[in-house]
Amino acid sequence: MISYFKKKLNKAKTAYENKSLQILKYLDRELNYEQSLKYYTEQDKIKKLTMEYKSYKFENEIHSLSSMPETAIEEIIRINKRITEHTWGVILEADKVSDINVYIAQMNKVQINARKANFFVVTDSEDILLKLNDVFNWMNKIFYIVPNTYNHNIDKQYRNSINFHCLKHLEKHVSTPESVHMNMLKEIGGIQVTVPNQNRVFCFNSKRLVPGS
Amino acid sequence: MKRISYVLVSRNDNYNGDSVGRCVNTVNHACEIIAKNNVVDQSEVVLVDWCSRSGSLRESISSRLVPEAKGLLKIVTVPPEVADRHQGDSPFSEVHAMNVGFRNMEGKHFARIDQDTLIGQRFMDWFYHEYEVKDYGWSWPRAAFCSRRNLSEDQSHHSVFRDYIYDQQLSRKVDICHEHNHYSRLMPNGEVFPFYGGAVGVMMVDRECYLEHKGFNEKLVYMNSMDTEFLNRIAAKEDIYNLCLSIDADFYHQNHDRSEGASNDTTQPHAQQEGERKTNDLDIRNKMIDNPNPDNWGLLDEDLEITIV
Repeated sequence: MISYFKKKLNKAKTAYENKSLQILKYLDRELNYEQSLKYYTEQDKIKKLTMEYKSYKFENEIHSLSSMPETAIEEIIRINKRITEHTWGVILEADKVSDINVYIAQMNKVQINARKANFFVVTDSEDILLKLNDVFNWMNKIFYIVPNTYNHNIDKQYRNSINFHCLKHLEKHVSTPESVHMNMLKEIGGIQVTVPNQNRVFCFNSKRLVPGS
Repeated sequence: MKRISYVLVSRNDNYNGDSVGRCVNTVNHACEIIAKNNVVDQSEVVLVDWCSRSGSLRESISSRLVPEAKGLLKIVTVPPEVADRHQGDSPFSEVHAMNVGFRNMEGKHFARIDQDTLIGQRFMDWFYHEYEVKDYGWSWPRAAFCSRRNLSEDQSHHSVFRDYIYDQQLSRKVDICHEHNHYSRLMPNGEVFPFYGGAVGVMMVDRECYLEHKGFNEKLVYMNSMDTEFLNRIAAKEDIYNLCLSIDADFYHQNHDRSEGASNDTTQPHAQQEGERKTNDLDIRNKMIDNPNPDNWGLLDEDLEITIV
């Protein structure tokens, strides 16, 4: 009886300890964030994706909305809820990204000119998505990359189409050259797709960074 | 033929530890990497010895220089009696020293590197083989800025630091200094950290551009913020090349303690390591100010000793 009681107490102690550690971690993060608004504070690197993701292949074939299962439609709606009128699409086919900094520079330019801009990133590489999440956030609290959702119950064949249907509602995009989605978006018309010139992209018109601009 | 002048400013003291040792490392490494890349005829290293009070820097380092420094290194000595006429109560006016470096350089491009920062191979490839060499159909910007990485104490050791510079994978493992600036991060209040506002790896300005802007503002005689102020003036008128991302912060700061570093500079990542050195008014980063330099800025009228090593 005593041993049973002790075991239960130990379990409760561990649970409380874990919870306390979680709360402390959360409070540290909040304090860091508060400090970062006043002082220069380096942010911790993100080592794990903060959103659901599973890699998939870009494909030419897109399922029409009417041919997709209800769960896939729900997924599109869920993602679209996080998208705003300021959101840019970013399409990055990993095998065409020779230097991720080219795309970071282009995304920097977007934000320098439109401070409310955020990005919906469609990529076949978890590493790229992780890197962009790490770069485009403030103190691991404010994220400028729209979070993906990934319902594992949806057949993998629909993932490409789900993301394309989300992208097509956005007006402006950054893309790797000749990406599958880019060509299809152009066919829709009225959509701007920027493929950064890897030489020119590092020339920054910085007038909007100058104080008082 | 285009020519670059790497300008370093220092003095013979023990600022934050063995500052002379770090300066020797930087000068020697600069000369070595220039020679290794066979670009001696397109380069020079200008070391401005500003206000050494206990023997000149030239005397202190002359026996420790590598053979590659011969013909590449120029030392401009500004003795205390001259420096003190210009720097007021500041113990080390970097702005004056850098302007002196500019006035005495031969190159078309002024390239300011810290006296304890090492140049990387990606920069060499970019400057000598791409910048103003390749014609992409647009004009290259006249100014460029690159952030730097901070070597840890172990990485700074003379037996390994070259590995972190020449090995392209290892080099990217060294921590970037001022990441918010490096990535032009957006704050929740809508402000963006300018890529040219972080700790300097290299600040490169074309000679004509430097002259047009009358150089570093000689009112800013204390520590920090002078590069940002200068680049703000340039950015207001023309493009600046984002070398931070282009060459992925390919400059390497040697580790040292910071007991004599900046005081009360909350823009720095080492704010908790409070130093004692007075800093320029932080406000100058946040507003445009006039540069009141007289025509003879850069100690143009002073007779300074110049030594080609």
